[in-house]
Formats: sequence, C-alpha cells, structure tokens
Amino acid sequence: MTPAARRWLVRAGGVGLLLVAIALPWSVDAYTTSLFARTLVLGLVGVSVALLTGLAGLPTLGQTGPYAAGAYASALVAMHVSSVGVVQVLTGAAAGALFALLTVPLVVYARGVVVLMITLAIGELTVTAAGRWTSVTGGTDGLAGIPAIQPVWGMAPLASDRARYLYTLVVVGVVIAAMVMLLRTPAGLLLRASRDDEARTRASGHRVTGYLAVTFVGAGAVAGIAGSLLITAQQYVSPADFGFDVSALLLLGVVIGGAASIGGAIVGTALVIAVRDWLSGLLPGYAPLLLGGLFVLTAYLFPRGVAGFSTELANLVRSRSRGRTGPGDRPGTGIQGRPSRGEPVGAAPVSSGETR
Amino acid sequence: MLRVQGLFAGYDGGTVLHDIDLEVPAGTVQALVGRNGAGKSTLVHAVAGLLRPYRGIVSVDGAQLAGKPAHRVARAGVGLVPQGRRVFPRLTVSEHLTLAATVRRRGTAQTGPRWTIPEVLELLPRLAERLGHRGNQLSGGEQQMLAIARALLTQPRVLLLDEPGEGLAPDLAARVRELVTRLAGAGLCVLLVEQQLQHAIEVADRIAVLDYGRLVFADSTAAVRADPAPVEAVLSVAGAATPAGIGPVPSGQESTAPTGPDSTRSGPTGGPGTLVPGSNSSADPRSAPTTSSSAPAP
Repeated sequence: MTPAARRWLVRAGGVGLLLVAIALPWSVDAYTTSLFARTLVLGLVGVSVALLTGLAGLPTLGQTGPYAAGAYASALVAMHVSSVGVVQVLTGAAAGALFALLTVPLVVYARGVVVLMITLAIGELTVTAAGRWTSVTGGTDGLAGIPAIQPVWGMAPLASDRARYLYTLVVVGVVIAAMVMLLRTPAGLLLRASRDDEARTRASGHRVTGYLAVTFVGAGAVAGIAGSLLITAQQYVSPADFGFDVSALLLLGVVIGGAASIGGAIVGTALVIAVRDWLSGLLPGYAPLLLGGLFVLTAYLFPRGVAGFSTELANLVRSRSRGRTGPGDRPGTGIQGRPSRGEPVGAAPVSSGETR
Repeated sequence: MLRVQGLFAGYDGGTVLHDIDLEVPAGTVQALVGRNGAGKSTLVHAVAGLLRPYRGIVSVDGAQLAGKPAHRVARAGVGLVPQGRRVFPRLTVSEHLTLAATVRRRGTAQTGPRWTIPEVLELLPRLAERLGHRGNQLSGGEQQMLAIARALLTQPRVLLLDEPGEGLAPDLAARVRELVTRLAGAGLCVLLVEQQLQHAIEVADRIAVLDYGRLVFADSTAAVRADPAPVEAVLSVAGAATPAGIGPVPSGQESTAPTGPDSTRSGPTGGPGTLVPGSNSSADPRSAPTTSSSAPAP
C-alpha cells in the first residue's frame, strides 16, 4: 500500500465516521443519543490529552482540571448570565485556559513520569475543591437545573437530545478542525520536533519551554470547551464527572487510539466509553476486566494504537506481497524495502548541567 | 569570530573541560581532534548552550553566550550539526527546512551570507529530490546534508560540526568535507570535530588537540602536515598509556614532563606546535572566582 493510498484510506474512514456520526441520532433512541453526546465530549477532552501526551510529550492525568473549570464556569454562566452557546463555549475555553495558565509553571519544566504525577495531583485537588466549595459548585450534590442552551442569539433553546447531540458534534468538529490547521503550521511542526528530540530543537533556536507552555494552555482551553459541552449535553455537573477514573480512562483511550493522533484519541476514547458503558451492561461487573483486555489486545496488535492501524495494514500487505513475489523471482518489481538509514537517531543524554 | 576563553565544563559536578582557550576567525575552519572521551563533544555542547559551563567565556562577535540557554545561543548565530545527525525522524525534509527557517537571529548582527531554503537546496541538491521523505527514511549521507541544511537556515555566524563524517562512506565523507570548505569560504567560522587527523588536515586551517579535557596542542594545518608526529602521538592508543603528559606549564612553553597529579592521564610529549598550557586539575573550577580571567592561549 502506497502512502497516498494509506492517506486516502484514512480520509475515507474519517468521512465515513463523520457521516455515521451525523446520521446516528436518527438511528438510536434518545438515551443512546445523549450517551453519544457525552462520548463526544469526553472525546474532545481525549484530544486535549493526546495533544499534550502524544504531540507535546507531556503525559497527563490532569486534564480533568481545566475540564472541570470549563464545566463549572459554563454552568454558572448558563444559570446566571446567558443561555447562549457561544458565550458558554467561550467562557469554558477561557476558564480552562486560565486554569492551565495557573498550573503551567508546575508542569512545563518537568518531563515524563514527573509530569504524570504532578498532573494527577492537580486533577485530584480540583475534584476535592469542587466537592468542598459548596457555595459555587454545589459540592458533591453538583449543579442541577441548568437551562437548555441556545446555540446563538435569537435561536430557540435546544430541547431534544438529538439537537444537543448535533450541537455538540458541530462544536467538537470546529474545534478539531481548528486544531488540525494549527498543528500544520510551523508551531505544530515544532511540537512534533521537540517531542522527538527536545535538546536538538532547542539547539536549533526554538524556545521549546515557551511553546510547551502555550500548548498546555491551549489544551486547557480545549478541555474547557469540552466542559462547556458537558453542561449542554447533560445539563448537570458534579465532581463525579472529573474523578480519577475519568482521567485514567481518558489516558487509556488516548493510548489505545494512538497518542500522537487526534482522530485516534477520539476513536480510542469512544472505544473505552463503549466498553465501560455498553458492554458492561451486557456483562455486569466485568467492565474493568474488559477494559484491561482491550488495552492488552491493542498493545499487542496495534502498538501504535488504533490510529496506526493503516500503517500496520500497509506493512501486512507489503509482507504478504513480498512473500508471494519473492525478491529473487521478479527483481525490481516487488515493493521496495525501506531506504537505508544512518545510525539510530537517539536523544542525547541529558545532564544536570543542561540548560533549557 | 568565535572565542572560547578559560572554559571549564562538565557533567553532574565533574569537570570534563579544563581551561579551554580557542579562537576561530571568520572564514576559517578550526579542527578539533582527540581520542574518544577527550571532551570534544562536551566542548561543542558547551559552546552550543546544551551544557552550562562552570566558568569561562564563549563569545560570538563579542557577544557573551556562556551560560545562556541553547535557543538563545542558536539565535545569536551558533549553528550545530550534532554527532549522529539527529534529524527528526518523523518530520519530512521539507518540514525540517520550514521549521529551521522560522528561527530569527537575535543578539548579534546579521553578517555574512543569509541562507534561504532555495539557496540551501541549490547547495545540497540531493535534498531537493527528497523533500517529501521523513528523516528516518533518509540515508546517512542525506541525513548529514539535512542536518547541515537545518543549521544553515538558522543563519549562523559559527557552525559547529561534531564528527560530520561519522558513519558515512568515504566518498560521502569527502563530500561533506568539501562542503565544509565551501561554507568557510562563504565567511562562516567553522569548528569541526574530527577523530581522523588526516580528514582534519584536508579541510582545516588550524588544528587543535584535546586530551582528557585539556587543549594540549594548537597550530596551523601546514605545520601539522609538515610534522604530524606530535599530534599522532596524542591520538594513538599508546599516547593514552604514556604517563608523561601535559600539566600546568608556563604559557607558551612546551610540556615535556609530568607536572601535576593528573599527569598520568595526559598524553602528548611536545612538538612543533603551540602546546597550550593545561590547568591544574586539582583546582575545582566551580569554587574559583566566577570571572573568567584565564590567560588566553599564546
């Protein structure tokens, strides 16, 4: 399979998934539609996790922090200020970004497992604060009675689950399209480069730490928007929406989907939610076992996640083709192997005296 | 001009480089040779800002860079072609070049040639044929060309090349050396790390030898070509085992006898070139005054 064919396959798959997503509310009941809306919301948080984990190289268990900040801020705006969707989405983005801005100094200078631990602490502290700040968040009872959303000024409130699902789908689509466009700019290139070799990127004149900080804040804004959409989808919010299990599921979904892929993050999150919420209904009490099995299977079959499926498929086709043809049978007509490489490109040892 | 003066640097508190003095004028190639572990790459990293020196001066056209973060050093005009190329495996050639071209010079004036992507591709035409290929799909020679192209697009005044011929076929390595000569001809200061003395002689204007973190020899290539024996003695395995070495000696004098506690680790036994005074390794540079007042090399 040529790279062009692989790209075509991925695009065709994406368009197919989008069409299915649009047609979905007409094929399932209202409860399932609302479940899909919440899956989309978690998928968007998963995208922000993938942005940090796979693209920026900052593995995180704390995106529930800006997610919660966006959700509570949007809920308060919806209850006391405006039911307009644009206002709520912008409020959620601003709250998520502000939350990330406050925590970025703790994260951006650390790497690897340390980031994981710091973000875990941030996420847990956020949930604790949400549970105890009763006057603002409603405590563990949460905030209920949030009015239905109007997407823009002058539109009627979205009263049905189908309408709220489609609104969520549109916002998620717009946010992801904007992210994809941003990641194709030199700023996106720089993120990918620094993930591969941070020291080398810095030695090329790029202020990696600054870019990582901006990315962290941007990922916070995306999670904040997801929080706003959570309010739209379920019209209720409580600390239970942001617990450690949610953080762990998001990271698991991103790993299963392919940490460096936005599409993979959504598919992985959807898979995890499907296993947790649907299959566990068929096999009560077995959800953790099913999730573990899914993770092991994915790690074994698709080490690069679901997003790497097309690459794995291409390799399979290539190896089958080689097996049929044989390099000696028809020289020059088989699929060519990889070009020769130089020595492996590895990261330089980082010393304590290294400057950032 | 690149100027390194009284430079001490190392890792995790240990000192690898001892009192290094080096000057590379514009338009010249200064080769740095030495055995494995002599400190060549450490010196390159210290100049490039990837390693914070304990003390000393690193300056480009008078702008002091020692201790500054790597990205500021690069923006001040220091381009690095690291050992092993270290191209980004998942970025295409085109993306490498685009990314490198976004860097803006700050801190020092833009003098000398200003490289654009078309000019770089004209200089390295093989890359133009591989623009859509990822870094890990390139051959070793192509990766080396890409690493050089990437460094040039940051508009350097100083180009640091850390063993650019390593792992390349002899003809490719020769082409890289030819390219280095052309870049120096365009006005760049080139600091070239080489393990092979013959390769350094082919391309450099001056040759310096590092041994156990000390600059033990510095002279013109013509002088080394006329009598390579002293340098070869340092580079040879036997040289590593030779107890006589360079210790702290008066400036401008050749070292012929062990002079300090580290003398058993040092190698050269004098020669026609300028033997640079070593520093007393027993002195902890981090406890020394922070001002860089070391006497420059003679």
